[in-house]
Amino acid sequence: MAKRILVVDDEPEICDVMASYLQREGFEPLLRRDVSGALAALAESAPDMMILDITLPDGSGLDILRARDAARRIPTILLTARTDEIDRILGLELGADDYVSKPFSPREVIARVRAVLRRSEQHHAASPSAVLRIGDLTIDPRAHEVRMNGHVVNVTPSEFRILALLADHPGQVFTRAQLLDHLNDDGTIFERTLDRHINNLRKKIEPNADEPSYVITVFGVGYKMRKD
Amino acid sequence: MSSRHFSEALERLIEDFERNERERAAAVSTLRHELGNLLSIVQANVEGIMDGVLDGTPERLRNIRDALVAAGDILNRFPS
Repeated sequence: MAKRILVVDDEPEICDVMASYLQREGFEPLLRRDVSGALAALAESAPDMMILDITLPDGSGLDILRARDAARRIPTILLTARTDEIDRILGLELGADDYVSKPFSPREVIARVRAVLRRSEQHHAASPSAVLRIGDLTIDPRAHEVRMNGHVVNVTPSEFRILALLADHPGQVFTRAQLLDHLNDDGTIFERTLDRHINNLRKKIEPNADEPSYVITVFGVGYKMRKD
Repeated sequence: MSSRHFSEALERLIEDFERNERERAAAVSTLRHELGNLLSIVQANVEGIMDGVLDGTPERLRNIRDALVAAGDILNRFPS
């Protein structure tokens, strides 16, 4: 069954575009324009996830977050043009799973929706055990070994985890947030560190690190492994 | 001017200053919100058309143009 995603934003244009993207990705969008509409939707139709604007005509998206049934925690992404740090922190303390600043890229929001849903379902926890092959690249998770054209490539544990995740889902884009999440749960690795891992990885496995043909940058979204 | 009058005048000055600061911060926050929404409309629609999720109908293009014009109006409200 399609996951039902409640989108709450007072701009009909934004709701409209998000609905088109969500539908295309196989989700069932549920659109509301204010807090009262959102609360009614929460009571009636049990969405699997929420995307909430913080500034709404009759209150704050955070009110919706507060009203969530504690027993049934609904994964939530905040959407906001108000970048005040307090709002962000408060929002995340209230249990929002992620936030996106306006102006935003709908593509990025979709990527984050997938990431948050995946995290909440804990699907990504298990690491692959079968040997992965992409082009001349071979990754053996059990032996913790990477080979390029049959030659062993020495990679760090972090590089290995990134590579194994990407290679296990060729063609699928992972956002930086997803990769960071996969690498480390204690939040000590930052985006720039991640970019450095990717650069080092490319130097080790790419035939030409300046024009990567395995670990590909998806501009403005994240990284993916090429499809074989 | 007595020292009492002086300190009262100073207090009023500080109050005025603080009120102005609050009003300025509120105005900036409102403009930010409006601009953020308008640019979101533009970015979301343009990306939607580029990704083939939305059709680039004349009406949609008009909405994008209207959002840009509104953003320009906000820009013109900033003191130069």
